[in-house]
Amino acid sequence: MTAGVPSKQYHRLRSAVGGPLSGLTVIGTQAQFYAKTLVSIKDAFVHYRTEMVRLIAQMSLSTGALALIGGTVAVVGFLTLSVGSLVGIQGYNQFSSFGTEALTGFASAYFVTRLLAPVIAGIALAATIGAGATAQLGAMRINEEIDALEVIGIRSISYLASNRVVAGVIVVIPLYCVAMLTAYFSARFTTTYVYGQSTGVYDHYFHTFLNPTDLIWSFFQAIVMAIVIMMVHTYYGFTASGGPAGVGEAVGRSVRTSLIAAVFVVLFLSLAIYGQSGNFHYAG
Amino acid sequence: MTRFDDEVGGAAGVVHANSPPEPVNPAGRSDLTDNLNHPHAERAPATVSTLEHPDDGVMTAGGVESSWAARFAEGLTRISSAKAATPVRALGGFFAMTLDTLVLIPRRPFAWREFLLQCWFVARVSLLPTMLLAIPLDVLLIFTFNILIMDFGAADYSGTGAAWGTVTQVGPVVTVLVVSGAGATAMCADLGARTIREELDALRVMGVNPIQALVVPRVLAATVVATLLSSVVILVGLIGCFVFSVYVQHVTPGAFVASLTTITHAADLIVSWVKAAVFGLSAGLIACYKGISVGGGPAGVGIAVNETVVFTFVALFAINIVATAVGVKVTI
Repeated sequence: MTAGVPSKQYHRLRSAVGGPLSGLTVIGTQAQFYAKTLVSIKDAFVHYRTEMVRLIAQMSLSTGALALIGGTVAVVGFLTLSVGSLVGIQGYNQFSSFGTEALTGFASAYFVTRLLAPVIAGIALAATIGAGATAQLGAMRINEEIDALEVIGIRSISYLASNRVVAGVIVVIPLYCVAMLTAYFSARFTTTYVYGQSTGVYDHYFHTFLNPTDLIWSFFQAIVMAIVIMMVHTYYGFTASGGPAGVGEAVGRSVRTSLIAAVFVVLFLSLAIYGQSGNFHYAG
Repeated sequence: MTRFDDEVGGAAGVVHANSPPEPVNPAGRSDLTDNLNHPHAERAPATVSTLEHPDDGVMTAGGVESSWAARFAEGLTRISSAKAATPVRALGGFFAMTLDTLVLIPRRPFAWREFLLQCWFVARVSLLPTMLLAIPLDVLLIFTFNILIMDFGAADYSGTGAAWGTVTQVGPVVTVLVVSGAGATAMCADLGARTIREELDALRVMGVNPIQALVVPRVLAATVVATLLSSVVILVGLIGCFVFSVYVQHVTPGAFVASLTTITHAADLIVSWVKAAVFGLSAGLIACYKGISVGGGPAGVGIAVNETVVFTFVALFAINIVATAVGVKVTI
């Protein structure tokens, strides 16, 4: 089989140009996959509603060893819990070194809403739901189950990818509520119970600087992030190759890519939303 | 974990069937490794029950009245092979492997070649993602912070927030997010594939301890690279903050640089390195444990890698709280 292929002209030139070009091809294929996924969301709603409901249940409670420790909700809750108490610890100590520890409640209302909750929720989503989707789809691809789906006439992208994107968006809404509440409560708990600040002071500054509009934008960021993360993860699962190790590598690569994508989404959305004016008024 | 379930179950079967039971090893492999003085934590329960209760088999086979201790031991074996004990056993297995790894680190022969290859590998897959993750996170941080302090009229202290946030939090956290997302997942996938192809068993048969040959260099590589990368993250992050603050938000460059060291000192930097090293160590350990305890084909490897990501992230944030609380006491 190896014989009979004539050597190509300008071999070095081809390999020098071909490397970067094949990178561009990968980007093109990804974009094509994402477009197909988004377009076939309609099909998913029309034909595969049962699968969608099953996926929503699976994603919110998760399966296997993760379900034993409480599933996605517990992981997201734990990560935001730790971040909230981090705000309490760092904020209280740093502010009290200036003598302004009363402002810890402000730090919670401001930094958690705008910065920490979206970023941490993105990290948790990528790690739990996203990586789980890549692992599942990758194993399906290796076992040629995706080809089997195509053969029996099921639209695989719609059935597997679009359904997961929709399910991810639906699941992220309650998850993000849990994330926000845990972060706020743990920051309050750390500051008032562990460091002994009076709850009245904390609540006053917290409520003064908690801006409902910020909260809604924060939610919007989380939803956009969920779409991006699920699309990246389904793509890497769909294109996994190379046996068991290949599935694992696909999971690793997808986590890396989706973390970067999620952080860029938060950054650009923040720049677009809060812009140069900042929508922040200390003096009221 | 299914592999170990089978072995524990199989060992119990051996005990009950053969009377009098000889202290044989469950799968007939561990004698080699035991002779070579290589501890195997995973198989410990089976060996212990065989050695300590040699008359278990007589009891069940002969129908003689069983003593309390024997029944207790039998019950213990049953519980340990039940599904309910799986998470507890996984945790125990993890700490056993951690102990093995830490004990074997100073022991010769040290796998230098594997160590250097793994260091290079982790650094190679992590470098670009680290920068790509550090720059937007730091810019986001400084953007939010600058909005705040510009409202106070204290824009000259922009650098203070940048240095403090980058050194104490973003540096170590971003490093380990990438080391665990890129390096640890690949390690877990690699070790998991080897476990499924029974290459680790082959190593044991040849008298090579897989913990010493494969796990120790990987764990050390993750630790070393995480520590080194955290410096890169801090540097890249601060440059990103500088460019964004000065060119986009119009902070005075001189004031930015001058205020960098207002509340961030050398002690903070050292705490940050220690944090990064501890994160890297735990990420490497979790990845290796998940890798060598894989079961169930390609789907098993995928699930193991997924669990690696989740557990490393959870461990990272748990350690971060403790490390920050301690670090705050040390530095302020």
